[in-house]
Amino acid sequence: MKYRFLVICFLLTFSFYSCKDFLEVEPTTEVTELDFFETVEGAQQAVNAIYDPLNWGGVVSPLGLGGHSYEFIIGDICTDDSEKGSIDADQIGISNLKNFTADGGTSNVFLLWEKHYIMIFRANLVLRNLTTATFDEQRKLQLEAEARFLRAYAYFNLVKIFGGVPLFDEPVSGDQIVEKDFSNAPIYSIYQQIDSDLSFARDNLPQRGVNEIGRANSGAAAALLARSYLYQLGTDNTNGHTWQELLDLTNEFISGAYGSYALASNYAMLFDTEGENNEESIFEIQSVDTGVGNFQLGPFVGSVWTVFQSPQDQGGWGFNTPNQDLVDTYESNDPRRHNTAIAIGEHAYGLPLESGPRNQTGYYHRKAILHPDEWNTEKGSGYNVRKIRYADILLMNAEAAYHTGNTAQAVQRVSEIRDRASQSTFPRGFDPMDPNGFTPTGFAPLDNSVIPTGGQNLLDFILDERRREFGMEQLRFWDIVRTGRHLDLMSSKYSISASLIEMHSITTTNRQTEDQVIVNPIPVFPIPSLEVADWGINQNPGY
Amino acid sequence: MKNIIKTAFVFWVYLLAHQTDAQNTVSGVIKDTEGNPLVGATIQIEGTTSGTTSDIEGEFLLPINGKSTVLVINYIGFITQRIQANAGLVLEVLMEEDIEALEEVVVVGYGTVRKSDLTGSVGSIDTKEVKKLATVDINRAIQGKVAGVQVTTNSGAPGSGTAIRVRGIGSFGNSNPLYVVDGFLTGDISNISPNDIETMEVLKDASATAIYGSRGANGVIIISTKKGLKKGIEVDLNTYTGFQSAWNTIEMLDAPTYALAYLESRGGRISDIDPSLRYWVQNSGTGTDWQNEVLQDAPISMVDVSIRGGYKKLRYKVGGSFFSQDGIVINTYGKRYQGSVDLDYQVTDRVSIAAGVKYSVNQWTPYDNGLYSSVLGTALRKDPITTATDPVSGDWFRTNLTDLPNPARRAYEQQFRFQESVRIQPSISVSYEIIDGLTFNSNANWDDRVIDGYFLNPSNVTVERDEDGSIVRNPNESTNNIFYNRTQNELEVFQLTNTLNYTKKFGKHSINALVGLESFERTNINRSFAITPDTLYSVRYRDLDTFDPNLLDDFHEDVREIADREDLNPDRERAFNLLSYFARAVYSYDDRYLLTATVRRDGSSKFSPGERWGTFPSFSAGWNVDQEGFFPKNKVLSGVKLRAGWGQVGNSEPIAPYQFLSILAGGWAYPFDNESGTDGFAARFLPATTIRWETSETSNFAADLFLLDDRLTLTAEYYVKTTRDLLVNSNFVPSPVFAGANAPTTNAASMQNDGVELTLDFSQQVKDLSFSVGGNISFIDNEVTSLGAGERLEGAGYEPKIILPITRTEVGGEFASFYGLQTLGIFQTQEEIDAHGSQPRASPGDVKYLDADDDGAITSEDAVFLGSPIPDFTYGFYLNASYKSIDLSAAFTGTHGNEIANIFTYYNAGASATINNLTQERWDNRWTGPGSTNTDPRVTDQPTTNDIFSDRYIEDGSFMRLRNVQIGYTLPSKLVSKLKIKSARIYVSADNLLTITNYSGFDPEVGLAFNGDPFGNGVDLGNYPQARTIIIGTNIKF
Repeated sequence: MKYRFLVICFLLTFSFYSCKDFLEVEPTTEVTELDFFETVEGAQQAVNAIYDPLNWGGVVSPLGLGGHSYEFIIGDICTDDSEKGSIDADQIGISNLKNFTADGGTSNVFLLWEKHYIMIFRANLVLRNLTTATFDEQRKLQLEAEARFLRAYAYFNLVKIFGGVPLFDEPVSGDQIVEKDFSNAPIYSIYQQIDSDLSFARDNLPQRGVNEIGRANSGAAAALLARSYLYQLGTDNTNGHTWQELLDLTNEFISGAYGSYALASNYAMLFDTEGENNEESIFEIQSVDTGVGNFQLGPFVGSVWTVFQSPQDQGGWGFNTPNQDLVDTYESNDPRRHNTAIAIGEHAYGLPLESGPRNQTGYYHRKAILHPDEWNTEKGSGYNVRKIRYADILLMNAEAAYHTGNTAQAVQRVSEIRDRASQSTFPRGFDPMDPNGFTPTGFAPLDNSVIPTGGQNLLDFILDERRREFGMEQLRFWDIVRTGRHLDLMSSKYSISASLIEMHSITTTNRQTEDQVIVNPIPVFPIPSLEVADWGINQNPGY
Repeated sequence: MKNIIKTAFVFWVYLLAHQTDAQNTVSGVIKDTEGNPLVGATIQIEGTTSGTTSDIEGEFLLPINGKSTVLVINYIGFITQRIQANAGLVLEVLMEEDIEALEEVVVVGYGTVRKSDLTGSVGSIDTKEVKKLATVDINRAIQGKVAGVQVTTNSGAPGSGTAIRVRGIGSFGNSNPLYVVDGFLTGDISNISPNDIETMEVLKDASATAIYGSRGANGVIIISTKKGLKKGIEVDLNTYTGFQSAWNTIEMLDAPTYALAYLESRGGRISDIDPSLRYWVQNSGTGTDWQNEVLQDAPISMVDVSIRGGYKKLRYKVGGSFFSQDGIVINTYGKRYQGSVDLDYQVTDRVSIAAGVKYSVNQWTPYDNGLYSSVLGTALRKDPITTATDPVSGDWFRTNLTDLPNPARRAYEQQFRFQESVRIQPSISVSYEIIDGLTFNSNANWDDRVIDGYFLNPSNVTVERDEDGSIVRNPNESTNNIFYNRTQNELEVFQLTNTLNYTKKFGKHSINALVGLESFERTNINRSFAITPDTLYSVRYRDLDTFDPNLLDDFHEDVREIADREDLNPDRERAFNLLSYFARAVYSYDDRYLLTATVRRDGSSKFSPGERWGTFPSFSAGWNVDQEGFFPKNKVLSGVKLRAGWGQVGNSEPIAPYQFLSILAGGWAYPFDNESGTDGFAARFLPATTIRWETSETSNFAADLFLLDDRLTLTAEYYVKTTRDLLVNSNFVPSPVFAGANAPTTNAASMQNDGVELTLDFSQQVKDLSFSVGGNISFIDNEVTSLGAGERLEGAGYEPKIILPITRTEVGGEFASFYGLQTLGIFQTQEEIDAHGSQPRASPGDVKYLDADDDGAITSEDAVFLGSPIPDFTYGFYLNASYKSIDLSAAFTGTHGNEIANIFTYYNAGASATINNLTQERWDNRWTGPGSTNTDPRVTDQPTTNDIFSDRYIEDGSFMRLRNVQIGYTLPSKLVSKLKIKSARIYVSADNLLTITNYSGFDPEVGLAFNGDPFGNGVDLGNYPQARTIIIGTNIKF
């Protein structure tokens, strides 16, 4: 009787647990990779996550490298267009980058390194799974194209800033990490993958207007491909691109092959909140202030970009201040100056720009100044960062036309840009009496007869026009690098020793560049030191 | 053994010297040591048959012949007493339990064994010692008490934790031991009052822990809490109150010296300094001692009450305590409310049911340990010229000489952030003795812990001065935004244990056998949300700039109300289940030969089906040599026991669930259509498809010697512990950032720890003076024996500016040792730089490094071994003494031969005063010209290589600390009995009164860095130091 009780007790408990299901515990708030790519919706969500790092810019990060990193640190500040801003002690690493005295511990390049590699990993994970996914082929092609566009976008930034970096076309494996099986890929092979990804994306993505705004489309892919050609032509052109290729591609673009684009009529409107995603916009990073702080990286969809660059008394931190040198390139009746570098004493949204310890150049970056209603020092703003505008297609087309002997076409494109500039009003609230208005300038139109008709003068003019048109839009650094002017400009204007710049550049001599065509020296920035110390890749020259 | 126990007990016979009227009788009362009357004790006159028994009140009256006689008092289970009694006396006899007679037992897994049968390595902790420290953290209280158990306090902040290592680093993950509290397996004992602990044992070797299989890899600490009494009632009241203070501060530059240092950093020309900063360099004023600004003398107090008793078949215990402390950093605090109820009902002779519930609420202000933002960190870094507030506007102030938050503001904001942990832990168990010796036990435990974090970022205004001296708002440190974050972490555990235990003695053979089944389910749910400003503004406090801190509680209440209305969907849920079968057999022959064998089979849902099950056996044997006929028993050597054991245990604790699956989690949003975020799913780590159980194997050899009539005991143990397939959780596996995700969880390495542990205790009683002294010392050797396919693991790269990772783990070396450059002094001249060759960009005054690989350049390959955070030995020793009513105790603890990587010196002994303030020492020893010094480099804000991780960061971490000293006085019972008090003691106690160390940081007790990273052991990031605490307390029994 007693033993029977015992047996029952034990049998009950054992049979309760003997089913092996007890040890099958599946995640509930997360999804396994296998399950995830069974549906289009899942695959789409995995693609969405590749976009997410685009608007990261703050100090936190999921993989341990943090710091304030923005493309403009290289693209604008490390050039003759602008200065670091704020006070000297604040983010001194940026000054070191500009002067080529930085080292691999400089936090101001960390996130530029990290967020792009996170995009690449996420893209590669999607691409691996799409090959076996079973849903609709057409949808698969589109998702693959989106992922490849974003992978190319990330690599393009990496190769421009750091030169030869590790190249992956599939997710890094655990074995690779254990074996430290990594190396720096040559620049040209990174460009090969970029070109191939962008060509695929151009051919397989729909034109704009089909998918949601902000998603990659064939226009964005074609435009980025054009930029890739443009930069290769002036830096590492081992892949043998030609100006004709660029001319053809931009001609196709202008003819509407990748969607319908046009210059916006008012340059001042381009950078206003109202000008987001307008007819000229080819690709821009979408941002919305949803009230989530920038320390919550995943759900955060705002932009710290504006906060970092806005004036101190207008809710910002006062970095990236345009300088007199940039201002001097504008003709006095060019409204783009007021829309790019707004001077102390002038007004934005009706408020005066004031001098202060955080401004040493006399100018603020007008394209980053927000309406007072949107000032927000913690969460970032809803301001979209414009990455590629149709104007760039026109000016790339002009440059390609020039190099292929079509000088008339080159002059024509520059004229289009200047004509549009002439129509511009002042930026919003330039007139303190009308804080919300776009006040007409009353300036005479820009004189297009000053455009040289050919020769080096024309090329120089096109490049200067790029500087005027894209002032503070993070293109200047690579424009002066790819045209071979970086060393002269920076050593003459900032007395940085030429040998110091050379020491930090990839040239035909100081790097294993056999069989590689290095057109102009490529100054590069330090790879985060821990990456180099631990994982068997090379630091960039001179760091 | 018997005598040891005897002397460990306090033993009184009170002769209450008043005559009774009756001639030639003695009377009295017989009680146990806890004061309960003993019914039916026999009182006999020695050498006669005449005697009596005690009545229901424990009282007796016995006529005697003559004036004086000797009474023999007997009670089953208690030690027999002989007492000289004079006629007319009233005696109070306290009977002491005869532990030997009741077979002194030691709690081991799922049962008890007679201490004499014990074969594994088990260290017992005197629970009186646990109560002595002014802390609710029981772990801190066992520091230095058991050989082979190293306890390191990670931080002195209220609410922060400890790292416990039983016999060294056993795992790469969490190496903390398993706690078994009244049969419940847990990793957190913060809901237990130190006063509630009845017994506490540490199981150290695998033969002892193998019964816990995969749970016992890092040692097991078994705690039994106090239960009800058989009858009567007893009330215990323990209280203390006191204050804590910082025992150490670091000498930083004062404002005028800092101004000089700033100028020198910038090259010495005032004109090179920003116009807006120049003013401060020239007008430093008296400035601020930031440490003084943020540190305080902080109160601490505790009240603990417990009521224990029994009524008929019911035994009960009800207890509760309240603990409160402020931190030594202003605006930090910790509070704990805790209570428990335990009931035990004897249904029949063979069936009993027990039920209990533990409830606790912990509140604390989470201390931000960030290098950039921590209060103490910024206090050591912020320029001393800045004042806490602007004297004119009253706003927070900064000079901008250093780009760091105002430490006073950071400290102020701490009060707007607190965490609260509410834990409820019910249990029920049934015990059924089926036949004599065969017992079935079923024990169910629930544990529900909800940890809420309430984080408010208040708005604030920090101002600076313009070039013309006018006050302007500083944008970096000012914000108009208020936002409120709430996080919630809920942990649910259900454990069901069924065992069947059989004990039988036949002849000289005795056996104890156990089989059991245990299931364990654990779910961890994270939830969070942020309250948008709009919602927050609807609370009544609109302007937090002028916030009255007294309204803080109300504010939290209001926000909590809002929070409770918000949807708290889980962000993340993590669950795992464990299923285990186990068995044990203990056999002893004639108390001489002892054998124990255990086996446990564990299945864990953390592993893929193919790797799911592990089987972990153990065997051990003991020999009570003194029981042999040939053993010459004598006064010098009274007993000898030899023990040996071998066993295996598994471990899956270090890793999170689902690691073998590739999983994607949501929360990575992007705002398509320029509207609100559209969710994206991404993988954060790579899948670990092949992970399997981590297994450790220990061989243990031990000898117990009993000397000087058992007054001196000596235990020596030697062990070898080999751990294979060490599991490293994804986020701690070093991986390149360019992988774009964390590396997979891996079975990364094999490691061996071997060591010797010695424990010595001596006690003596000389008339009214009794004392005991003793101590323990543990030597440990750690060696990494394999690292799989990799050559080495690098870790602790927290501060990229020092260029190199801090630790390396290499085959043949110690786990996570420090590797960095070797310095060769300071370059005095350009000629010296040229001659050295490998630092062409250096200037005189820069640090000279050893080019270890002689390749003409200083690179990461020149890093050499600089030391290890693992001590050569750790120790603890104590003295307890009592004379009449006065008692005194002191306990020391320490480590020797370990190094600390003081990463904080990157800041406060760094390159330049433009980023941080500097220590006086750094400034005094700086290079100022050829021959000036060879220890510290020049002070400059020019880029140099002087900050690369090198031996300049390495310091000797040895210390000896007077952990606790206490003096107590027990009030005369005559006095207190009038107040119906059984006993009363008052005491004064001090923790951390004295620390002997050469370490220059705040505190040489440096545990694991950030997030418990095992690769960051011994890395000091400017830790919150432990306080010196002085309290006065009372122990009262009613």
